[in-house]
Formats: sequence, C-alpha cells, structure tokens
Amino acid sequence: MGSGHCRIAGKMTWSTRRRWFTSGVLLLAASAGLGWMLFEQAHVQRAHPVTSAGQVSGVSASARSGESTVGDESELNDVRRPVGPNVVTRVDETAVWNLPEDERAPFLASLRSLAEAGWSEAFLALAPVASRCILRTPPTDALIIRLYNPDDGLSYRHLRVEDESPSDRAAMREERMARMEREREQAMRKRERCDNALGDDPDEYMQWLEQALIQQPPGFFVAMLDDLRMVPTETGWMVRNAERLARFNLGFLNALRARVVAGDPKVVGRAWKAFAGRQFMPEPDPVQAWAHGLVARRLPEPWSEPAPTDADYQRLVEAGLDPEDIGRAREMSETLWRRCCATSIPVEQP
Amino acid sequence: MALELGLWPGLPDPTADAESGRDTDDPVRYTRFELEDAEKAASSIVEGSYAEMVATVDELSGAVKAEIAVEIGDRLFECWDYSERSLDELEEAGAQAFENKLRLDEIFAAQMAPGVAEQAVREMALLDRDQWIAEWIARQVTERETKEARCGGVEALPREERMGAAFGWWERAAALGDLEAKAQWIGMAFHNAKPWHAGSAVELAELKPRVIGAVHELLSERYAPILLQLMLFERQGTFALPNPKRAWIYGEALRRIVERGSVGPWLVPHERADAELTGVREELDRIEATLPPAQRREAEEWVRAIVELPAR
Repeated sequence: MGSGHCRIAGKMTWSTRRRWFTSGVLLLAASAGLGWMLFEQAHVQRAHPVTSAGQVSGVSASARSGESTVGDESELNDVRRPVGPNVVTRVDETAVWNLPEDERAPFLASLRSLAEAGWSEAFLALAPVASRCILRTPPTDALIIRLYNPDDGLSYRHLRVEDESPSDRAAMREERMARMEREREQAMRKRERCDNALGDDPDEYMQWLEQALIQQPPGFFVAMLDDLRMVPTETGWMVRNAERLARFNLGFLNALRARVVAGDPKVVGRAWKAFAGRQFMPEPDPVQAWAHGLVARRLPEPWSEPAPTDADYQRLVEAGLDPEDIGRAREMSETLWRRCCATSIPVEQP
Repeated sequence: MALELGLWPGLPDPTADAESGRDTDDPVRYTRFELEDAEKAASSIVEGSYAEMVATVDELSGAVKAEIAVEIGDRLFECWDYSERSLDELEEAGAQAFENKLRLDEIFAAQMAPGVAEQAVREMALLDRDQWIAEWIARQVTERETKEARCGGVEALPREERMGAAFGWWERAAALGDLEAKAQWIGMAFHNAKPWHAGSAVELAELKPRVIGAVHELLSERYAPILLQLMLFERQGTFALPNPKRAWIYGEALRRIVERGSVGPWLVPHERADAELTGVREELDRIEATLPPAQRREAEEWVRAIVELPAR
C-alpha cells in the first residue's frame, strides 16, 4: 500500500519531484535502489519513545504555537520514535509537514509513518485529509455502479422522459457512461489518498490526537481552533472513541488555558472560539467566550485578527449571554489580561 | 455456547451499571388509582390529536402508560414538519418551494442534456410559476387538514425541538418497560446526542453503556427487530470497526426469523415484520456476495445459532 514515494529513501529535490510527476511509477521503482545509495539517509534519526503522558515536551514548550520550525534535527530528536528509511522527511530542505497543503498529496504515506512514530507535526499536516477520510469513506466501485450505471443507476431512476428520440437516448447514455467513469476515477484517487493518509484503522487517528496534545507541536492550538476538520465527527468513529475524545477535550481545554495564561498571543487571540461552540464542550460557555474575546480584542495586530466580530458577539448573546453575564465577562477579562498579557505582550493599554 | 452466555458477535458485554433508560426527572410515584385512570384513558386518547394526548397525560398528573408515551413520541416524529401557517406565510413558502424545485429541475436537466437544457427548463417553468404555486398551496392546505386530526398542537413546539421531544417520550416509554420503545430509543440515542459536535463526546460516552445494556436486554427478551439495529451498528462501526460479516449475521438471522413467522422464541411484531426487512434483503445479498467461503461458513453457523437460540 501507499504511493511510490514511501519507497524513496533520503532527501528529495524539486527536480526529483518533477521527474517523479513526469516519468511515473516505473521510473521511480527503478531509481529507488539507486536513490538509496546516492541520496542522504532519511533525516529522521533514532530517537527516544514518547514516555511522558500529559507533559509538554521540551521542544514544544519552548516553541510558541504557529511559529513553524523547519525540521531542526536537534529539536526533532527529543521525544519521537524512529521511523523506517523509506520515509520522505524533507523536500528541498523543507520538512515534509511544512509543505503547502496542496503539495502534500504525494507525501501522505510518509506523513502517516511519521505520525505513527510520534511526530505530531506530521499529524497536523495529515489531519485535514485523514479526518475527511473518516468523515466520508470513499465509495466502492460497486456503489458507484449502483448509483451511476447508465441503464438503471439509482441516480437516474427518477428521470423518465417519455418522448425521447433514439439519438437523444444514445447521447444521454454516452454522457452517463462518461459520468460513471469520472466518478470511478475520483473515487479511486480518493481511496488511494485515504489509504495513504489513514491506512485501515481510522481509530489510530484518536491516538495521533492524544499524542499531539501531549507534544503540543507548533501550530497545534491554532489548527485545533481554526480548523473544524481536525476532529472527525463521523458517528461511528465518535461513538467508538467517545471516552477517549471526552478526555481529550478536557485535556485540550486545560492545556489551552495554560497556554493563554502563558501569554502565547496567537492562542490568546482565538481561545474564545473553544468556549463559543460545542467543538470541545458539551454546551457553549458564552461568558468564558466573551471574556476571552475581550482579551483578544485588546491584542495588537495581527494577533487580534481572530478576535470575535460583532456577528460573533451577536451569536454569543443568542447562546445565552445576558447583561449581567457581560459584566462578569468584563471582570474576568481584566483578570485574564493582567495574568496573560499585560506585561508580556508589548501593547499600549486601551 | 457463546450466545447463551450473552456473548454476541461484536457487541460489548453489558456493564454492571448499565441502565435501559434515564432516571426520570419527575420523582413522582403514581398511585394504583392514577395508573388505573391512565389505563382507562389509554384506549381512548390514542385516537386524539397530539395536543389532546398531551393534555390527557397532564390531567393524569403525568401518569402515562408505555404505549401512550410511544404513541406521543411517534406522533411527534410523524408530525415533525407539520405547520399551521397562514395563507400569507404559505404564499411565501410556495415561492421558495418553486425556486427550490427550479434549481432541482436544472440539475436534472444538466444531467440529461448538459448546456442547453437548464435555460430551457427555467424558461418553461417560469411560464407556469403562478399556477404551480397555487397548486402547491392547495396541496399544503389539504395536507394540513388531513394531518390536523393527528398533528394538531404540535406547533407549540418549535420544529427543531420536535425530534428531541419525541426521543424524550420514547425514553420515558422505555423506562416503563416497553420493548418497542426501547428499540426506538436505542436507534435514536446516539443521533439525539448530536454526534456532529465533538463536544458531545461526554454524552456519547455516558450513553454507550446504557445503549449496550438496553440491546442486551432486548436480546434476552428475544425481541427480533433489535437484530436490524445490530446490523446497522455493525455497518456503521458503532462499537467496533465496521464489519460486513457481522452485519450479515444479524441481518440474515432477522430475515430467517421473520420468514419463520411466530414459530420459535423470537418476538416478531407483525406490523413491523415486513417493514423491518424493506431494503435489507438486497443489502444482505450484496454483502453475502463479498464474503469469502470460510467467513461465509462461519457466519452461517452464527446465524443458525441465533435463529435456534432457546427462549430465555
């Protein structure tokens, strides 16, 4: 399983990637052995296993979220397990997890191997694809045929034309055949993508989430707060992992509060989101959300950009924020501001 | 034998503290006389509207027989979209319905003859717009009149709260020991917890042992429709990763039990027997075709064991 890329050992260059795209799998298979000899060893080196549950690693604790570290070896060797040699870790000196989202597709299998080995940066890069694969399992060929076969596909059962001519019928059939083929190709690509990103055990995703909470890699809080795709909400997955997810949510909120108090401005600016909805909590807490929102509004640009807008405020009012709550939220925000930001963040007091 | 020990394929063991229903918020314990009144009322109020049923239950200080609670829940389910809109509101809704229909027609037209057909469909439809809306309103009025006898009073509940309220009535009936209500409660429990919010994880975690306990209870009562629910759980991967073989075991066992009729220890409610199997046979054939021979043989043994399982 997996794409040809996980057979490539060592460091890839942009020219190598271009060649891969143009010359295809056969050339790759032939060059894989040669590549192992010519290129450097994979940049992932032997490391200690993750042992400390609930503790922030030295790496992550020192890193302010969102400040991407481009695969500094000394940092990365701290807490991760070793990965095999057949994993792409860098492309033109860029750590594979730092590639733009639209360029990660050929490296999903490598990202998964890294995530499995405890590299939470890789998980963050993998999550948008992997969680979607949980949310919507790619359709099988059999299902596509049932839905789109030109003669009695379920999608066409409601379409009945009484007076169509034979030529109309032929044109329609041709169009439907083409559509079925398109759907099959799309599904095949999606199956391959999901196979690379997730393998055959979607519940491993829960472990990656837990691991990321322990390690808190750069960008973890930002991704969790900004991207709803980070936690899959497919019913089966949610029910199977409900106990672990409930613990994760609790752990996340605690870690978030700690990070806010530590004055990480990227987190302070968007922490209100965690309390405004049901992404991490059984019920929203509009008072907490508004208190954190007021603190976010006091941050200087660009950190205040994710602060709640007037429309968000309106939603919080609808969620149960009354005038008395607003007063409480204001007091809480003052306390919070003093703790988190008044001294550590260089900003003029409003 | 595993089944006799209560070990069902893919279904976790019932936990010691599993319950089949939530403790009622109402601490009132009813007197024998109140329950007798409720029983007398039961036969008459199921013919009434939703409002009449609820009013009768209120008059009886909340004492309700399980089948009435099921009926009220079912009625809310049936009437979730019932509306007592005024004519003005209906006109507005009709215009919106027309727009929706037009968009749908365009999509269909695009599938059949891409390019030219969408515009033609829109132009033709617009010629008949007023007529279409008038007919739509007439249908709504007729439908409302038909439904009024059963759904009257449902509008007191906002539409988005009706399913939750229905679930509450099923839960109440389940707590009173009604098997059908328990099955409905099991089928809706996770959905009602809104699993599309990750924050619902706590509620799901609390529900899980209760659902498992209720499933075991229905299995031990040999209530056959629960096998369909188990098939759905296996397909969705509710308690373990999705497993077509186990889905086939439960679905096939139900098919054979229903085909045997009332012979044997399994309870098959007559009115539900056929409905339960709608669409299931086709699905079972599809799964069966994908099972390797060894798995098929093993699954067949499970099916036989379930069908022949003695009464409790």
